[in-house]
Amino acid sequence: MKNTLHILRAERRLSQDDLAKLLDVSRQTINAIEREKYDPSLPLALKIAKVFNKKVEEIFFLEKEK
Amino acid sequence: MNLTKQLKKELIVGLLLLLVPFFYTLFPSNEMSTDAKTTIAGILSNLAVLVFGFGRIYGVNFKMKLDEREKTIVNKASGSGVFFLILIMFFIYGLRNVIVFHNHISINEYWGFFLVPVFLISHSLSGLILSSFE
Repeated sequence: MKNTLHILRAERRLSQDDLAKLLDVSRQTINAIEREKYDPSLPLALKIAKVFNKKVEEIFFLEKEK
Repeated sequence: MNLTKQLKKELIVGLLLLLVPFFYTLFPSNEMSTDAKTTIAGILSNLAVLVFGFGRIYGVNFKMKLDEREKTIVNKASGSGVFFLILIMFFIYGLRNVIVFHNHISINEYWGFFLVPVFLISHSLSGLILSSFE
């Protein structure tokens, strides 16, 4: 699964640590999601979408969709 | 404190506890009488395993606040940790009369002391390897 998390984070000028604190997860987890090594659970994906005020499918999508 | 730091701590404690059986055999029990040194060494060895070994296992698996990715890693590490524990303990138990300590004492009655350190080492190494890949 692909995602645009690092772009959104850069736009908001948030560090991985800042975002991790907002989402109540570790910085390593944010890093793993950005590098597409880990797919977040639905609750975490919804939390991320809420932080960036976007729909989940705008942030996370399958490779064929783009 | 993050998971990697905890797992590194667990590995260090495991390696230190691996020395316990060697410490224990510095004061082998006399077959005729149990002297004070043996009793003290036995109490210290058991205390070290209980306090540090079980403390670490409890700390990583139950006390630490983990997020969803870290929980997955700990679950996988526990599974592979137990797999390697059984495998290594099987060999240690099988070779208990063959492996000899420094002063001609075979592992024999001390093989149980390897249980906690071997678990700590296999669990922490599995966790560290898994967290570097995931």
